[in-house]
Amino acid sequence: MPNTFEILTGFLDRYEADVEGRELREPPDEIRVQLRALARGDLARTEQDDLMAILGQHPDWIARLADEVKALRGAPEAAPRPRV
Amino acid sequence: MLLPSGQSADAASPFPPRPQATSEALADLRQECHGTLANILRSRGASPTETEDVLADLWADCVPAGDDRPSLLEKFSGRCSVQTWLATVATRRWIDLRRTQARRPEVGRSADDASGGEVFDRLPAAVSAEADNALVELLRQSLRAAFLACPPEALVVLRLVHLHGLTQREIVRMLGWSESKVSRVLADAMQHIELNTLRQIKQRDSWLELTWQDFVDLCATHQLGFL
Repeated sequence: MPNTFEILTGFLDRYEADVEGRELREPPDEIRVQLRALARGDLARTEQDDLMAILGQHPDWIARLADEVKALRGAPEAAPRPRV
Repeated sequence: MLLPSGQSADAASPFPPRPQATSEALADLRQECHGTLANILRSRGASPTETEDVLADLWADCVPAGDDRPSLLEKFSGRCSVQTWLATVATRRWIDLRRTQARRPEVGRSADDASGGEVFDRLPAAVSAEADNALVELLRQSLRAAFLACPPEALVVLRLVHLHGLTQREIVRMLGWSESKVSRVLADAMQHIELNTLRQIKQRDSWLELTWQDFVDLCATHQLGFL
């Protein structure tokens, strides 16, 4: 059973693609580096904000970030950063 | 449940449907669903007259009329309940009707009125392709506007958690937030999307009374690609 957010994004993906066409593009290398750093929790706050804005425009790249985070599963955790 | 074609929803018969079985199955379906469909349309803002007119046409279109006009139910894919599907079709038709009425110029209180013509007699016989998409466009534009108004960071976190299966603990580690902040951002973002979407709908069609659950159900039904 899909969750509510999944239903909404699934609907938008389906009909936005019908209207605008779908453009899937791989992130450039510099963005990949930033995604990896963010996944490890190593990206500075200002860079985080910039990257989030970019991801907002390229939601398909969020899957890359998720993959980077999942790749770290089972790895020893780094020392926690001060929390916001 | 039997479909009016005389077949069960999940098993196709090699034999042609018997007309008697078709009409009996359709009568059963109508008896089972009509009241609920009427309640759904009324709760979404349709008047009693609109409700009865839309449902009368809906049931009429469920009756096959030869090769030229197959039963509406042949479009049902079986990927959601038939009642949910019919509710979406009825809602879409009602919105089309309302918009068609809104677009019509005031036809002059002259010839037609003088002759006592009914309003529905003056409606176009067929709904245009543009009107067919009215409900999808309403849902899409309202939802898109709500997503655009949501902070990018919150949308990214929603996608990571709800679409890609990251845990909130992984978000904590990634962004350096507290667990309570992650929970709050997720909850606030969903509420933000809900309120903004419903506000957008009201701005576009003030007569339409959709609850958030209605909206999600309509999106879910359309997502299945049944139309």
